[in-house]
Amino acid sequence: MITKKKNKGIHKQAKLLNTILENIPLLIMLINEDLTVQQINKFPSSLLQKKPVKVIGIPTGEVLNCLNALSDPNGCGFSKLCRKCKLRKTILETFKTKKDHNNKESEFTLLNAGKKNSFYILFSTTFINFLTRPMVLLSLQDITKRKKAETILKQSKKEIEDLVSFKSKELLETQKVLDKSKRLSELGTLASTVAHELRNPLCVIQTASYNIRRKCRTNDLTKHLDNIDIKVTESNEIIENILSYAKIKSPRLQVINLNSLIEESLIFAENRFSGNAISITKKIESTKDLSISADKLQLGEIFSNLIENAFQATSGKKQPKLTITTARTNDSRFIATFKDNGCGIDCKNIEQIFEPFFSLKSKGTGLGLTICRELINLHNGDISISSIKNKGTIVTVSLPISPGRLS
Amino acid sequence: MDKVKIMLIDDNRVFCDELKETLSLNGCEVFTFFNGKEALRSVEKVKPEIILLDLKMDGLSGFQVADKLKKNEKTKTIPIIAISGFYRAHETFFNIHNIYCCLTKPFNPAVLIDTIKGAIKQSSESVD
Ligand SMILES: Nc1ncnc2c1ncn2[C@@H]1O[C@H](COP(=O)(O)OP(=O)(O)OP(=O)(O)O)[C@@H](O)[C@H]1O
Ligand SMILES: [Mg+2]
Repeated sequence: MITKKKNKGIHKQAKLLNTILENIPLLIMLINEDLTVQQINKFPSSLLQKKPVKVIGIPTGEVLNCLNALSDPNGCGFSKLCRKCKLRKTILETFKTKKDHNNKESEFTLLNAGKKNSFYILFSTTFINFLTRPMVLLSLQDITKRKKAETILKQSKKEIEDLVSFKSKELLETQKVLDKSKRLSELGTLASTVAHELRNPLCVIQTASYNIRRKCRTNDLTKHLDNIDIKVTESNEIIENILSYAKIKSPRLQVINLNSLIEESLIFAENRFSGNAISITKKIESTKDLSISADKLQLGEIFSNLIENAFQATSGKKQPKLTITTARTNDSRFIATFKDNGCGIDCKNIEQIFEPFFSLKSKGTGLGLTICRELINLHNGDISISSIKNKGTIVTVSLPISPGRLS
Repeated sequence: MDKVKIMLIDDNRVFCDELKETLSLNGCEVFTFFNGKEALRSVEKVKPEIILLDLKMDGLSGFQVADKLKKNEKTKTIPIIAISGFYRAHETFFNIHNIYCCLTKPFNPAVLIDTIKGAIKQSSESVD
């Protein structure tokens, strides 16, 4: 009676265990030492293509339809890639050390419904002695979906991080530009107020000098009065520069002939620097009939400033030279270069030459190039300068033939 | 030039002194006013041939003075030469309807004398 009862109890127990085994949402296999499958549960798993009854005695990799196992004529464990198989290594390790391995992850390519598919598998191994035979209990879980979601999340996280860091860099740049333009405009306001206020006293000095000249016609006074007049004119030029910098307005476009404007600017500079022995070469044939749309005053100011700088840079040179070259580019722009063999610009200064008030000349305002760049920007153009100290300087201005709508 | 009667309106006294001297040296009779209000009050009595007008003044501005002069039948034909320290004033104000022309400070006094001569010539022609 007792044994019967006991048997019944054991039977019940076995049934319960079996029910648990068949319903646990894992693929569970009992693996022999030769890595063939001894037992398998029947829970339908996406990892198992074959019918559970047909897999007993077959190597694990072949049970799973592992591509490496299938691609080698000798099957699971014989392909070169099998040596790197994490699942294989873990099972062997478990047999050797009798220690369990929990929650390992690995990627496999499995043949699934005739197609190669990448799977992520989470697996654990437990060493067991079943009727004195060493075996490994292997449980497997398909985590491909979770893994893919994770990868996407990781990617978007990286993308978001990149975007954020890019945007903050951009923001920082904008901030810098804003700071600078704010400083410039404050400086501009101050400078223009001062400049404006200086015009009245200058006007009085000029008128007074005229009156003295008219009243006492002695020659020894004339020299001094001439000096006063020259200095008044010079001061006024400085004021003009400061005011024109502070009051740069949007260009009034009109159609003008490029070459005539260059000629005019040259004459203007030659008049100002009469006595300068500079030899000027004009290579402007290619734009002979080129009409452009620009603000005549502003473009003239740009050219005059650049020519003036070249005159000043070459003064004192043995054979001062200025070459002006023009060309049309195919993308509806034109280029004018001003090349001189003057003093050049030191590397350490080249960054600063466009800054307002940067000047290495005793009488310079340092606004010439600042104004040039500002005006060129207003015309949607570009200016660049390359220079070698003591050799010379090339200034390149590129402007649209017709700027279209201006900023 | 015969003694040309000029009304000079500018709130900068030192400038007025110097300019009056310049104009006198060139045979003009100069009446100086340091603000627009007084000038407007006296203009019919003085009967100037030319008015030199500073555009930026305390109180009435030069623009307001010019406006009032042009609205008065008795003064509307008097040519006004504006002087101003505004940036590029000669370009900015060159075609303001009631101003003959504008000089930017500082200017060469000789240029002013020429401008005055031109203005007188033009107004005498238009009277004929
Ligand atoms: N062609 C050039 N060759 C050598 N140096 C140059 C040349 N053009 C500009 N520079 C350098 O750049 C500085 C700035 O030039 P920028 O025209 O802005 O001012 P500036 O010429 O000194 O003063 P301003 O234009 O008021 O006379 C100059 O002082 C000079 O040192
Ligand atoms: Mg310069």
